[in-house]
Amino acid sequence: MVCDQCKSRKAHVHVVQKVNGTTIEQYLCENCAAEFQAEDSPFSFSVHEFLKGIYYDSAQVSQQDHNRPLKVCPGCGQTYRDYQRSGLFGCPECYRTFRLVLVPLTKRIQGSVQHVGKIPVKLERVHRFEGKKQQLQSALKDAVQKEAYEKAAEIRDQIGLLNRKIEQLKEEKQ
Amino acid sequence: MSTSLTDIGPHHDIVISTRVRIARNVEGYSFPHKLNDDTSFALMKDVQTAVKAFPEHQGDDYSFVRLKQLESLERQVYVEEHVISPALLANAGRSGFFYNQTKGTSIMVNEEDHIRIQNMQQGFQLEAAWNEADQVDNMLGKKLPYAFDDTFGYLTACPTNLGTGTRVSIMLHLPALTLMGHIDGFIQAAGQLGFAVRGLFGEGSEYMGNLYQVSNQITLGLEEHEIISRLEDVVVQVIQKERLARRNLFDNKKIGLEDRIFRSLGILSYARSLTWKEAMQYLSDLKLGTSLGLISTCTLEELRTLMELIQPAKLQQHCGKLMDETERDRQRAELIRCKINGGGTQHVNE
Repeated sequence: MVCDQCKSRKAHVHVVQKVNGTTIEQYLCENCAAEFQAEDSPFSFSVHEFLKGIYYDSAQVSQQDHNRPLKVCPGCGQTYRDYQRSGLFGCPECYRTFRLVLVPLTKRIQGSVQHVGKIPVKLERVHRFEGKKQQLQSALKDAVQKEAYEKAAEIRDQIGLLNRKIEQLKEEKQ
Repeated sequence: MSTSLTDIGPHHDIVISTRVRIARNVEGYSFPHKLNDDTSFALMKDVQTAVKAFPEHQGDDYSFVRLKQLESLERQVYVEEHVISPALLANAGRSGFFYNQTKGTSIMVNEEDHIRIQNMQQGFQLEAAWNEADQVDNMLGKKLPYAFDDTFGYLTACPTNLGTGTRVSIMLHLPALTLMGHIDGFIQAAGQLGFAVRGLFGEGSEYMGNLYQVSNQITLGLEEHEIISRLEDVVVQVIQKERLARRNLFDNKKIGLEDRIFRSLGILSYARSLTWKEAMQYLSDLKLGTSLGLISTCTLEELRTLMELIQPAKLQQHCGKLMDETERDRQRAELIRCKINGGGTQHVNE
């Protein structure tokens, strides 16, 4: 029989677990059984274990969260309670869905909530174009104020071109 | 498989290796623990296409390995060589990696995050390791839509990796600080500065052979070069302290030190069975003795090779057969005995 967990090694261990009154049976290989035991021990410490604790705490703090209907991430279908259980998010969309709870939580874990490092190469170009667009927009304002309409039209064309480039890059990113 | 046997790098008497790891995820896919066989395979294909499109045919330097196609022993060998992480192994049914042996770069797919880019250098080489990993990240980022948020930075399955997604770690051999009882202080101080100290295989692994892995905890709110230079500052000080501690033991406790080192040499020269942990401890003593010029049985490089070879999976690979723990302990003792008594690392049947 093949191990239920890794689906590759031979199963040697029979594990029976009772979760919320339901009996779960698994046949595991020696490696997966050892991992299972380590995870199951009340004395094991791991980052995920600690995070589960932190999620639980922050959920306790914001009692109103408990009373609200459970919000579901449109990207992966996970709820906030799922994170409390696993210590892991389901998909990138989760960060947008649960943003309000995640900002204070992240601050507790990382000490900061503002990224300052690298940005993706693709986005870097978008940022550059957007910076250029802002410059052109203020130049356009200037030109209109000075009634230099020919120049204003020229700038408007340039902005249009940049907008198309930005859209194109954003589509590529998706 | 290992590239680490010849070039052992700067400060190699104390710093074993430098590793930079960058976590990235791809927009449009759930994180790996939520993917099924089909979606995880589709993601792997996307990464493969991106690697193939690396400029100047650099993608040709990578071999691609799917973990489920490997025997369990081969997988473990890759972990022991630090080419892949234990977490990649835990998801063996759906994970794989691209490996450029010459550069020491691996791109793990479907670990805790979709992509984990890792570069490993011998000795103390933070800049080289960062440059390599950074370059691979840029090449992949040109082709793959990375999950990114202006506030949270690169989005990761676990919020401990958010922001830069960058974890930098240095493996240190600190026998003198350990012997003098200063390790707890080091671990505590490092913790207060935002660095974690772990054993040979990262989180949850045991300290063995006086080897300690120090890495940054904070990944968000600092630029990558700040993370690197902070770690560098810490490690430079630890190196100085370990040198000082070694000198202090040599100057003030030479008899005790010599006794310890020669006893270890004696045990390794004659033992018939050695567990991994005890062998690492005695080899650590030999490394200390060698770096202080007290013994010259083996070079530092040879001792390092031995430390790599006596790991459970590497040992079985070296002997060309699967072995239980008792047999491994016996073969380990024999391998070390042969090396120390001048028989080379060749496996010899008695």
